[in-house]
Amino acid sequence: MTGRTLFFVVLLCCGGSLAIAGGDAARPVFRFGLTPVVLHENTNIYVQLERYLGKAMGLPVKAVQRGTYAQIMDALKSGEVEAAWVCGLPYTRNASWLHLVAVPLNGFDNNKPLYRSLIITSNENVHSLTDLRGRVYAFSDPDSNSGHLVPEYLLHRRGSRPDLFFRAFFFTNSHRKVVRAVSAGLADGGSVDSYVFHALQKDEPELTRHVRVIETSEEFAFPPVVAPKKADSGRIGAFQRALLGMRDSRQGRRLLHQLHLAGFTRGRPEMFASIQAMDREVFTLAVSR
Amino acid sequence: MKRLLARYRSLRLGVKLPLTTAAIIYFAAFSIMAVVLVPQWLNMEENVKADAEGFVQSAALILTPRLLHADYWHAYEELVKLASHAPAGWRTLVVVLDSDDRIFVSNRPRQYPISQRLGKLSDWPESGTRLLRDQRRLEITAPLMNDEARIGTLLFRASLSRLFSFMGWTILKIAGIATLIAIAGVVVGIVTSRRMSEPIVALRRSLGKLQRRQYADVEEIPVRDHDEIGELALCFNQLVHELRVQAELEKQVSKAERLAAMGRMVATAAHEIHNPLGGVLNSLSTLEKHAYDPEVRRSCLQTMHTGLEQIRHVVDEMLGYSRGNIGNKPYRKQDLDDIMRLLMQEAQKQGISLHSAWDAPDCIDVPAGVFQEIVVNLLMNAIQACARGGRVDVSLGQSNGLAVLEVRDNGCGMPESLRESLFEPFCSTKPDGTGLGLWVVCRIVDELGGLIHVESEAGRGSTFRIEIPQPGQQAKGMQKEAARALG
Repeated sequence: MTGRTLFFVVLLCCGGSLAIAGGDAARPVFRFGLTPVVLHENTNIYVQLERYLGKAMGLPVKAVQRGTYAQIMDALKSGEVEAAWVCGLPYTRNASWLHLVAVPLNGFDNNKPLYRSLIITSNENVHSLTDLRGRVYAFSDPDSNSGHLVPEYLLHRRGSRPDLFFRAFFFTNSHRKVVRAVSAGLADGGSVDSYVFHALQKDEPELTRHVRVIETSEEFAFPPVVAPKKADSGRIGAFQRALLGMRDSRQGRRLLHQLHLAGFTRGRPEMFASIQAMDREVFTLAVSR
Repeated sequence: MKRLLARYRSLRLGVKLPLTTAAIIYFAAFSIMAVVLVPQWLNMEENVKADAEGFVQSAALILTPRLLHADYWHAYEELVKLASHAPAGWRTLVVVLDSDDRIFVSNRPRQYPISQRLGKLSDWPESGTRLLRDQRRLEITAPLMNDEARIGTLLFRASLSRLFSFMGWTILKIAGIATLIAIAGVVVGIVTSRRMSEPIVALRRSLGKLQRRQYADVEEIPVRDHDEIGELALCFNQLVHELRVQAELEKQVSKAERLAAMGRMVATAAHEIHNPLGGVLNSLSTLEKHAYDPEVRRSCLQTMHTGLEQIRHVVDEMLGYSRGNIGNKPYRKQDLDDIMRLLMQEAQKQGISLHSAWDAPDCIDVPAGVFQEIVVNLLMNAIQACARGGRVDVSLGQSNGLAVLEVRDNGCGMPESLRESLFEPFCSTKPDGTGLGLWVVCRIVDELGGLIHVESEAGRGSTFRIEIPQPGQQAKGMQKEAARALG
């Protein structure tokens, strides 16, 4: 074999390899974004979710975790993830380029796609939001409806602001960590998602044993699953079908049971109108002061 | 201390040995404790200090950026994580203060809430490490620096109770083990001391009996081990055996001597009988020849009567001596007179004068039988020691409740060399002597609890003084003394 012949053989081999790689590129991994704001860092659930979605969509699925809603929104914007489970607040703020894929059904609230914001405490002397004046408060994520917007809204309605009302406040970027901060006494009060709180009461009763709910908000639309409008509609459609059909398979039902969800519904953007209205009011009040 | 030592020395072996064993075990255990635990304790303190300072350095490194960004939650999370990796038992407390000395974060937020003033933490050291042994805790104050500016302070406190209780437990365990070993040692000590003391106690008991010559009652010491005590027991048992044999021999010799003495008595008696018997026979012969002469008949009958009276008297004395008629009765003046009369003929035949003196009431409270043996032996020795023309004096009296017999002669006396072995058996200067007379006297005097004093000078004679306690007289003497004292 001459040197030239050898060169062509190598070239052919490389070409074959590229062709195979191109075949995988035709079916790229579907990246699905999640935050620990709602789900806690249970790797097992992420793996099961990847397996279920991969099987249902006929695609390799990868669950991508980010620490905050802002990071997830950046990932959606950049195309790093094709869809994400986010809060109602970032959805309404970015509704212009986001498409509502599905809304989970809250397993603790009559299987409706609704939830509430709760104000919790472990301080015996605290019985209402008013009692938290001059104390330490824990928010979850700055872009969380239940974990930040709702209590901020309540304070604005009272003519105050977190930095004026509380002695100190901080963000934990997770509803579960808010419960931890309140339970440990680091914060005198905190805001949490009712779905997360009820899930913790069931899964980690020790964490919520000394924690009381002192304020309950009105109902809001459950944190939705969204995708950029520019995303591949075929892949997003497959993803939506997989979510909506989750309760139809045994594997899916098991997963839903672990997530304390009843299933998924298509949802409508109008469901999030109350959150959007509250956000605008807070913004207006903040600007006016 | 001296009294304690004296008390310890006077303790019985059965107490002393277990006590000593236990004391040695405790001393060893506490010495080991002092040698091993004290340096270990100091080392542990240094290690804890070094660990705590390392912990504080790590905490400062992690918490400084959190303090800079007022990130309460992550500061708390990291602090809790860090504290959970601290050694068990430290019960670590970390409080981070901001530049205004307000609490930024603590791993015990309920006690030390965010943004509160220092309050009860004001007793923390200004800076550096402080070990408070009395409070069993370690405290460190470290500045939190950013670009050479102090942005806060880290206060660290670790409880050393666990360390103290660990040491306490170690000491307790060692003390407990030492106690167990000491108990075992005491048990072993008791068993050993019993094994040691039992033969010694038996030996002491047996020696007492030996002292009182109760050979038959002396118990043999059991030989358990072949150590020094075993060998001592063996030697003692051998000694007892030999003493018993010797005692038996002595008894036999004593009996032989008594028989010999009786033989000598019989010879003397035969001599005593011989003379009056000759007179009786002569009178009988004269009577046969001159039976019709009333004067001769009366004289012969008188002589025969006197002779036969003398013979009967000698026979009576003989019977009395041989049968031991006088036995344990008190010794009477008559007993001395009898023996004087018996020995008088023998003495006169050798040209020796025999004198007696009785300076006491009618009887002396000593067993007459054995006392008579003493008198006979001493008198016969004295007679034999005297040359023709010699003199023997015997006197019997009382002094301070003692019966005092003194036999003095002006015979040949005894050389110095003989005096040392005077009372040993078979010691005699006479060719026909048995050498047992004085040995018998000595044994009898010993048995009666008396004393023998001997004075002798070669060529000038000897004096034997025997003092024998009289039980009755002693009691009376004591009563008299008591009455005198009361009166």
